[in-house]
Amino acid sequence: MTANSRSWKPPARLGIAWIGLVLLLGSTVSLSFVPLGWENTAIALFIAFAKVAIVAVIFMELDKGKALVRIFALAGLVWLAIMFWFVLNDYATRSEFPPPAAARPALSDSSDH
Amino acid sequence: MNAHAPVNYLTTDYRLSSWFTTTDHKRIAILYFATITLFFFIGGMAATIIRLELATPAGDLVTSDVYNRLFTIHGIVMVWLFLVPSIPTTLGNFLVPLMIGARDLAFPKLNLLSWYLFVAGGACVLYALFVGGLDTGWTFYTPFSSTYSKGNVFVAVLGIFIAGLSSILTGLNFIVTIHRLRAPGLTWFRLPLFIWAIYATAIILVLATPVLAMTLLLMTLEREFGVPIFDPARGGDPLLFQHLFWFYSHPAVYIMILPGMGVVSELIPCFSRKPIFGYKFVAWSAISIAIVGFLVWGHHMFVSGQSVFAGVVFSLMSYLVAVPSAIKVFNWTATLHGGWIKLDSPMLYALGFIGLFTIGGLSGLFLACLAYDVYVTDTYFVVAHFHYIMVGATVTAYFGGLHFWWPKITGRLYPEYWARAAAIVIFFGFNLTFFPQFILGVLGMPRRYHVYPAEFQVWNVLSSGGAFVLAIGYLMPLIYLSWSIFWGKRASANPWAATGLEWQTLSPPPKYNFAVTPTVVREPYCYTPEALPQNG
Amino acid sequence: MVEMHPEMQFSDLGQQQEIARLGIWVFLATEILFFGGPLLLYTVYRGAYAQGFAAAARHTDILIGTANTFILLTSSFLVAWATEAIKKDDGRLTALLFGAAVFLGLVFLGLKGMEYSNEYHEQLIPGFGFAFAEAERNAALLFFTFYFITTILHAIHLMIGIVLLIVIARHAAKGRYGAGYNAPVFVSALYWHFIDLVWIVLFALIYLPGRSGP
Repeated sequence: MTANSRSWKPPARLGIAWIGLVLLLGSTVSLSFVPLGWENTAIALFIAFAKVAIVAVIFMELDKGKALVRIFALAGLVWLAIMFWFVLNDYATRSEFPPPAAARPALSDSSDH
Repeated sequence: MNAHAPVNYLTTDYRLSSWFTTTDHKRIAILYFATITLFFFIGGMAATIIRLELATPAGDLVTSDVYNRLFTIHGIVMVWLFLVPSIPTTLGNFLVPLMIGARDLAFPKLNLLSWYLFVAGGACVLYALFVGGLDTGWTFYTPFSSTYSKGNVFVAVLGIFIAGLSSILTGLNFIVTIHRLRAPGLTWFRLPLFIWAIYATAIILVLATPVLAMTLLLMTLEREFGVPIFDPARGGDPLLFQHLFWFYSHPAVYIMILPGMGVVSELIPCFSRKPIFGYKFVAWSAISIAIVGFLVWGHHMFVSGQSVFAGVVFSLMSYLVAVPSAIKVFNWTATLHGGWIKLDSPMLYALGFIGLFTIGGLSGLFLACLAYDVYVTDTYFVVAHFHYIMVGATVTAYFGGLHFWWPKITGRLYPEYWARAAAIVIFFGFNLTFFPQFILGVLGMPRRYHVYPAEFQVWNVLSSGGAFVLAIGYLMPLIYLSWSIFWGKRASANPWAATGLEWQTLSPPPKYNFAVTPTVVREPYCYTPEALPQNG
Repeated sequence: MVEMHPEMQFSDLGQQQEIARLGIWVFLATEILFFGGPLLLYTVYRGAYAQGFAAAARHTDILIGTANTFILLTSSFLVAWATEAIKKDDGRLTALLFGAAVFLGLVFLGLKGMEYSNEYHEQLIPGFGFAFAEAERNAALLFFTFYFITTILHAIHLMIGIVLLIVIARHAAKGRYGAGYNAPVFVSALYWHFIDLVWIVLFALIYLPGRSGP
């Protein structure tokens, strides 16, 4: 490839992806200052996942190439989801967590149950 | 060296340096074999002292502190430095390319790096265990490990982290190799079941080990920098450590058993001279165990304080995961039925595996039951359960595989009668050691205690006596296998008349495995009872 | 492009390339699980101490955080562009773009260093003179422990990525890779993108909570 025939234009899909990412960054930062209660978290996560998807699919070329690559990528996410799901299962159904801020009573001897 | 023996992977280069810079998967397997044998003996020494101490009810041989260090050494060395690597890095490394008709793994240099990382990690761990010592048990529960223990936690964790990275890279290598380096004609359902088992193991290695690495790292950071991560006094939850730890450590036990099951799946058809019964069921059951095995870890935490709902879910999943294991046992048994049984030493080990794995597995069902587990948790019932699986099953399968493929690996035959005698001594010694421990557990003897009520002594003495017999059983192969390397009869390419691709090349194989890449034309285990090799 | 031969276990360069791609993705899957631990930690503790985490997060430097995110996103864009360039045999453009990404990576690290230094002076580093309003001290300690551990781990990965890009850029500039074989380029690129992915998630968890609060 000689310097004459080199194209300095980035590939269009990459450029568009970059613009999209920057816009999403701008949105997520500005929206975080708007009081929306629990929706702030939901929006921040949603936008984060959108950015992750753009980087993964367009920059990391997950849409091109063999299906096996997509399966490997998905496996990582699925296993992470398993870890989250089963652990949060415990915390969601525990009657007492976190322990109260006041000092806890000394351990009783009912350690068997 | 016999001048008439053809050039093979052992004889291509005699310099010692060629061994430490090799990228040949077969040589790397030998390097691993030497290393894990050393670790096996270290872990075994710890077990010997433990059983000596436990022969008497009083804590008279060692202090409590030393005893804590002993079972920590035994657990860490046996789990991470012996069992997890054992079959995958020795038999797996040696056989995977051969069984699929490839010239090497996908990433041979990465394979060598894996070994070096393993040695470095192992050295760190041994240093920590013997200089300074460690008393947390192999489970490193917080807050003892993160706050109160005076042991050498940091160096031990560093070593396990490095060894864990080694196993991740090995798993990565196997996965990519099995996907893409199979010989022409070798479709997934023509693969030997050993390959399916290694593949399932590799999935677990790759997905579970990073979580262990992170968890131990977090615990060490808490310890070294005084930051709260699992500290309940500052709002943390020690159960989070347990969740993260067991998320790896339960699948880890499947890392330890699946390759053994793979070995048995190779031995049973060969020594029954029959194709395996239900090939696809056995293949898919390996994958199922790998996947469902990730959903059960909470059964180690039934009494820890996790919610009862979580306990019920984990209990249900634990029952489910027994199903694919049972399927394997049924299929092996059905293979035996109507077969022409040959009781060579590898077969003795395979049969021993089936019996001991069944006992161990059934005891696991007891433990999966929430109510029963409350009664026997942290007793010798649990100790007996996991030793039946890890020693009775995995180590037995490892020895069976070692004997079966010994002629291929070394080009020598071992003395068969000594081998059969050793197999029987091991089986007898094993049961004498560990069956009394089921009884001890139900009677209420807690684990990790070296002082116990006098009425438990008779069972402990039986167990320690059995350990002595078991030790003899393990020493016997060390002697006659070493002897065979120098004076054993030279082996032919296929002394067992087996069907796999690894048997269609010389014993020992040449450096590049096959003169011509084989083309696979039929499924495995075509024992009619004459062997029809997979490639023609 | 310099004449390349496949390694002996491969039948051709195409197979070697494809296998390299599979290998790096398996590795990235392990990294997902590696970073998953702290993410789970964060989730559990934020669920328990929502107010405390929000209060703590307000003390992070959103200007540096946003700038750093912009920097990494742009560096990923450049690296992706480089992966396209090498497919057109343009090793020199690949090297240039990798070099630019390295520069951005170094700027990221510089800003991060400044940020850590500020946090030290504001007594926000757990174990090094940490001080926070008593009511939310525990939660803030947990938050900042998570913050430092994950961002330091991320920074270590970034440093490795920088070294990788420099090494590969030099080979690319010498014409070692091209359309027929460019595995080292896309392997290092994928690693770099992954570092970006981790940061995107960390940014949302560290810098954005509580911004609309008191």
